[in-house]
Amino acid sequence: MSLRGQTKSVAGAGATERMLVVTSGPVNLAISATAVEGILPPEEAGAKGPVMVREITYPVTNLAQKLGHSSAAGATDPRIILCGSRGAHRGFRVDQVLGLTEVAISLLSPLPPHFTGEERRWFKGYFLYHEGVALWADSDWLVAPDPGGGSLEPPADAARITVEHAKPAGEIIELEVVDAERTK
Amino acid sequence: MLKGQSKQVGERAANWSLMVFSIGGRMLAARTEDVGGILPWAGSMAVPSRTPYVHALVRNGEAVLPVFDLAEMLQLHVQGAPMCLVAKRQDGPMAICIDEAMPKLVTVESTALYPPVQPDPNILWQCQLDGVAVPIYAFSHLATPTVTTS
Repeated sequence: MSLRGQTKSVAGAGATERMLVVTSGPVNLAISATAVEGILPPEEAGAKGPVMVREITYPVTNLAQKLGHSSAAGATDPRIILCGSRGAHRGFRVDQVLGLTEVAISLLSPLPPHFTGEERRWFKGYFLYHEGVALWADSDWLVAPDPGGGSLEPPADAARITVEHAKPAGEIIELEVVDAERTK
Repeated sequence: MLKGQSKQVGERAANWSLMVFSIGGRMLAARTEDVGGILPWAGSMAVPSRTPYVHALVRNGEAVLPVFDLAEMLQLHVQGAPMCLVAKRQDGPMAICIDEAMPKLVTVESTALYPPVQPDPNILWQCQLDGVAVPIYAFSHLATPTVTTS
């Protein structure tokens, strides 16, 4: 159920990673496309509680809560991103989806060594994205339960979302290749 | 350096070239060799982090630096349109947001250096500039676990 054609590939500039870039408050977060199982449209983004898509239940939380900051006030284009990794599933409400991006592995940088805390486990690195940077989230950390956040067991009253409303990112967002040639 | 002579004494034997800057209007200094440059502040990008005082990245063209929030450490607020001071820490350069006022280069005689009243592993020495006690910060190991009171 992951995005079509999203896996690491070998292009002219070498191996690449396809990622969905979203914003949550002040953070640009890149999620590996292999971990993105769908995007709910704006009309579904306000859904309260868990959602069920294709018989999979996704507990939904604000990504800002996961990242430990406040969401942008009055986000104009919020979405719910459905994520999964190693059998775990979660949905995240984000302020905006910026795009689907293919980044040459050589352009991905680890966090500077000055970051010495748990964040080294949260983020696999970063890359230059438009005028700023995007942090590459570790998929396993992303879908793991939050410490002290309680159980993510699916409750029985999950809102069912039809498959048509939970489109893979590749069907609604054009792919952007981030300067894959800039490796020299 | 003479055998048995401490590095500290050796360093004090010469004049010190300092970069004097301010945060929240308070004058601070660092050795010029610990400063990589002064740039316009390009705006930082938040990084969720548990590392004290390191919660952002700043981008200048293709270069990305971690931001060390010295203002937060000192419980001060940067004044005016901020500038970016590039500090050379032992694990790599990092950006420090400082006041709008352009930093100054100052040479201080080693005999004018004295230890801070309150021992602080992040401060090498203090000196008097314009009648004000100015701490000289040890950027090379600022807030690192290996910080020492050299």
